[in-house]
Amino acid sequence: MLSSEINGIRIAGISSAIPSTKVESTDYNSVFDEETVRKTIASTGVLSTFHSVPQQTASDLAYAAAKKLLDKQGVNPAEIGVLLFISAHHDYIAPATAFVLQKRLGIPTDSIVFDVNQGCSGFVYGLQMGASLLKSSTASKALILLGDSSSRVVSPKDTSRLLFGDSGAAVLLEKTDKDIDNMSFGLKSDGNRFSDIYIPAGGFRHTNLSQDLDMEKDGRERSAYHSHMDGTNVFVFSVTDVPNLVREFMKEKNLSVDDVDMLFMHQPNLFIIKNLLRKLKFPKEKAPTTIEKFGNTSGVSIPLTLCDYYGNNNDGVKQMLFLGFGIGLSWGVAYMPVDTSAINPIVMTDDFFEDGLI
Amino acid sequence: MEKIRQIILDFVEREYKLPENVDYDTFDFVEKGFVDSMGMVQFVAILEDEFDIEFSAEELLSNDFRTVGGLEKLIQKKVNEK
Repeated sequence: MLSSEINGIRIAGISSAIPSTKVESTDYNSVFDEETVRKTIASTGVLSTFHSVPQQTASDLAYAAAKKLLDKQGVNPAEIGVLLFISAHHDYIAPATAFVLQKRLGIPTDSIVFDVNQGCSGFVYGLQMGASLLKSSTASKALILLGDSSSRVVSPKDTSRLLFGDSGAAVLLEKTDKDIDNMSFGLKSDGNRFSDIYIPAGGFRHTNLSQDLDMEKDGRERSAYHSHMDGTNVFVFSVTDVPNLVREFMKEKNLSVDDVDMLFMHQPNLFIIKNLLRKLKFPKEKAPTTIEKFGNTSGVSIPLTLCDYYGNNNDGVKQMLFLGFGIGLSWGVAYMPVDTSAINPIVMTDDFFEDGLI
Repeated sequence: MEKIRQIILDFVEREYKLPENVDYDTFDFVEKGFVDSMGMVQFVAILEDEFDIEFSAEELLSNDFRTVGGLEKLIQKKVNEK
């Protein structure tokens, strides 16, 4: 475990955004057979997801969340010195989508702006990177933006389509002089398992691949441009490596379940969530879920669940444990105080950026 | 051992229509596609809950986890070790 302690940085606000198109899982009865849909709902817990309109990208959703956050917290974009866009779904092959967001949000040029290609662990990794950059620079505030458009990369003939929803989030970090503002992280990465979740085409490794759907060995049709996942390997990772990291982290930081007011974890599917809670001995009352109504929203799932739970419910400062895990493979845990009054309600938007270039 | 076998069979037979006259001791229900990765999620959760055990990554990926006979022996071993 890579261990990281960062003092004097706090979360000053969180916002999330979803598109307006709600897709009920049972809507797929017309695509797959009803029994398959019933079993998929039963084994994942996903009842509905929200899908972007065709022109809307992950960064459009992150932008909507960021606009709301800056307005709500009364922060002038000129105060932002660090902007990270954490996503596996960028607007262009180049440049980094973070630059597009910098332009749209009016972030000044005296800043660090770049993309981080991460998925379900992105929130935890983003907090660690954003806080580190603030700590080591003259910047006083950082915007960590996350976006996910998984509905766009899952084959229409893959039952995983029921699972994934689109969303965006924005987190404002700022320097403070309070001792309580301490962030602890435990991070792990394993490139040996990079192909357990991947999209083969669209980069420069495999070019000129067909967009036609092919029947694959799991009986589902996909093209090389669609997301591929070794379900068994990822499941085993989720219920073994992930709880082991949390145990290692809590032991190293001398934390017990009682030291954690609330646990917000990535929402992969309901059975994995329940399995993790049981293994980690966390009561379900401390770990809200949103997998039922938003599906798996990758790196946005933690801030989206925070906004769903606290958006209209100020409950003071809570000691929170965050747990993200997924593509890479990559997994991370974080522990810190969060003022729930700085967590905003979810925004709904179908707006998109028209670059006017093509 | 009988209870273990019954719980495994209850799950597999409730969720999946297996061929008749199958030898459960050696029938690989994962390879044959009768239990997919989503089914595995439920299956592992049920078994860990029922027997208050925790499988390691090696055990979950082992051949023992693919047949009723192998699973039965694996669970018995873990229950005995508690």
